[in-house]
Amino acid sequence: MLVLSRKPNESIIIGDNIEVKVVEVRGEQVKLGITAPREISVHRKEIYDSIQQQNKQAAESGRTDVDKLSNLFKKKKDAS
Amino acid sequence: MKTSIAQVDQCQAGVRTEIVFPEGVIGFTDHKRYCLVPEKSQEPFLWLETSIDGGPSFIIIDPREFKLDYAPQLSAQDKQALGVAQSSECQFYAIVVVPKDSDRISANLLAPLAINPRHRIGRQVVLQDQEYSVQHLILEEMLTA
Repeated sequence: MLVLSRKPNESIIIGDNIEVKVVEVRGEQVKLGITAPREISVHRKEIYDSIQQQNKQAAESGRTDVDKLSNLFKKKKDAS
Repeated sequence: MKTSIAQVDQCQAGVRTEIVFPEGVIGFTDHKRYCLVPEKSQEPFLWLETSIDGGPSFIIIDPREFKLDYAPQLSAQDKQALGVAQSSECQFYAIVVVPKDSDRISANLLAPLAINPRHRIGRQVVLQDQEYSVQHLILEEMLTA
């Protein structure tokens, strides 16, 4: 892993068009500003990981009996 | 908003609607073309199936079926990618996870599928600074509603 030291308001550039700027450093928290083309998605890593994990689990629900699920849902809805 | 209502009507009539996800779905970026497959007997759930064999399929739901005040706000980047000016022009679906204990089915409300019904383009968006869970227990929400 490449490790670089930066001060607030300094930035790094990745390729031609992705810029990551240190906006603020306060205690343990660092605020970053990211400028990137719109086709590049930027996410907090732990959130991205949990979404990916949920999607993988969801894709494994392939043999689910959705009619049954639908009945369960409707029953609960009537009861609430 | 009118267009999305028309879209829902069309789905209820059992029409398969093709939706293109130019960036795929998170974790499945190789698959871009999906079909929305509504079945009357499965309401309010529906399938989002890959058009090509061997790809992923997801059970999805409109979150407002169990969370009436669900109002995701898209970022400027998401709106641009979807070709909409307002978040309300999109239809939103949450991907559902069905564990063995089906009482604990959950929906991902933090990263819904946003669909522009006019262009039939979709994108899994990650909502910023909005208090929604990736693992929202659907049936629990209904009991406390």
